[in-house]
Amino acid sequence: MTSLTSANRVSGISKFFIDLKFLWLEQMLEIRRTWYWFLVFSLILPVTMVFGFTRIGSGLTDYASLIFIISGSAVFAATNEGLYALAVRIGTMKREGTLIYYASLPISKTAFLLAILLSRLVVTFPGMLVPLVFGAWLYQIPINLNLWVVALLLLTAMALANIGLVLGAVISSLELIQIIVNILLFVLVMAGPIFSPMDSLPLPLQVMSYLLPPTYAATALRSALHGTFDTVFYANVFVLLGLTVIGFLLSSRLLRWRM
Amino acid sequence: MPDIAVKVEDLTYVYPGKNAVIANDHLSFEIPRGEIFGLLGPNGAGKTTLVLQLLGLLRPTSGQIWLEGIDVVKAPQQASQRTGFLPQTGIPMRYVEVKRALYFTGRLRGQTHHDARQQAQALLSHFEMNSYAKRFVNDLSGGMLRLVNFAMALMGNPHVLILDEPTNELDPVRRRQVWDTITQLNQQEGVTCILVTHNLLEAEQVVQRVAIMRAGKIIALDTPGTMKLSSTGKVRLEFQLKAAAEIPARLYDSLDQLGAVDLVRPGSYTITLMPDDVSSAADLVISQIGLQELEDFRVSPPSLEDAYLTIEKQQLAAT
Repeated sequence: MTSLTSANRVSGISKFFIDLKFLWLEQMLEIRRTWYWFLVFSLILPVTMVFGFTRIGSGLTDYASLIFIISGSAVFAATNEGLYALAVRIGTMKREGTLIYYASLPISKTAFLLAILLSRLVVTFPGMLVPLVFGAWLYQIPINLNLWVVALLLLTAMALANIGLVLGAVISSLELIQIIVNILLFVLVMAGPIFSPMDSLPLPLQVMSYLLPPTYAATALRSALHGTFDTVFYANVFVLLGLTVIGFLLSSRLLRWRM
Repeated sequence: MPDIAVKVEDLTYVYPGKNAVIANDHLSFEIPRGEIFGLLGPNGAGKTTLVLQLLGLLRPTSGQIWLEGIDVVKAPQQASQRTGFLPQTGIPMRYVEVKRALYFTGRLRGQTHHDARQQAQALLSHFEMNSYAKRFVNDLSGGMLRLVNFAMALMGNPHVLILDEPTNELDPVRRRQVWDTITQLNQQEGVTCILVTHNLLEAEQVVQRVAIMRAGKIIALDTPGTMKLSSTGKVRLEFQLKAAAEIPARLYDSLDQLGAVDLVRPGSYTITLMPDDVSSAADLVISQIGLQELEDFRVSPPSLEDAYLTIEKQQLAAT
């Protein structure tokens, strides 16, 4: 066996990035084994959503409705694959005791959370991009696929995944996490201006919407797809960025790494 | 490096809540560097709570813990660099190949690429697992999975190993391999090992000192030898008849006067008695049954399990 006296140690900021790299790789290698499920939930589900929503009633195929549907489906994908999946993942880790094992290693909690978040991003991003591309192709509508759209998709995925991390961190039972997140999924997507304009919502829902990241994500995404980069767009991006940072800090604080 | 690997002083942990539970009740003990220390006790005795506190994962209600001179409560991250932990469940990296799982663990424990690679390969060879190197951890049998998890605990060359039931699910050959590795690490590298186990018969062969916990307290702490002698003071005479028959009632009564007679299974008896009475009991068995009718006949000192059960009984009687 290798001598135990070997004492070459990586430390400091290098150690943080090594932790991040290997924790991220571990998460990604897990995805490698379950790619077919990922395909169903990440890609087919948002596409089905675009297909189904455009056939409601006598058909919603006008440009304005289509932009709401394809951007809304992208935000839904982030909610489902980011928020839901991460909340359940943290809950499962707590139940199985895996979190205790990670905590027993000399790794940084921030690197651990960031690795999980970034690995989710890789899974969520294609699922968000697909409804945009598929919807635009299916209905031959002009959309502006620019770098802002890519950045917004990533930011939205991060913001919603952070909510998942926070919920997974604060709720003790896995069953309760699943119930709450399922309810929240509908509230976030259906009760906010994701698939419908803000002024079509009743006043209480409008007020509530201002507290939720999907509101800013969907509004900014619609603007970016239009190619409209005005002050309102930048304000939405700024708020979304702020909520993402707050969400991450909150999850780092609330996850009981050491009890 | 300090001579004391682990020092626990007046450690108490109370699980908060309406019905607060005292899981660790004013524990104080020291483990010298390079000792194999057994932690025994029934379920709910407070062993896991103690382990979590030693790992810095649970902040004590009161008291202090030092691991190789590091205050675990104040600097848990620093302490965790020196500790290898094998929990009973909850080990990640199940969807990673065996060799990668070892390598990743080494990197996460702060090893360089070269050291982690070298140690991963050395451990695969040591445990004769080279043919499993590219198998997914999740696809291994229970025993192999346990062995890989044990190897993961050794990655990064920890100075202190905390092993919770390390030989669960292992076949006899692999079990022997694990105990031999623990002994080897202890003797050659001076690794301190805290062993939480219910497998007393096997643990007895490697542990140098044992603590028995009950209801959050350490009720006995000594070397297995001293514990065995002081707790029971008795030896066992075991014999098995060639036929699965019962011994004559007269012999049973005579033996019963010398010690406690147990019928282990048909034809197999154990008599727990004082050392002075061994020769009388042996004479009785041989004269009344005859050596030719005996399949097995032996006198053995009490095992750690006997000592443990005696101490448990004494504690139960006292409460």
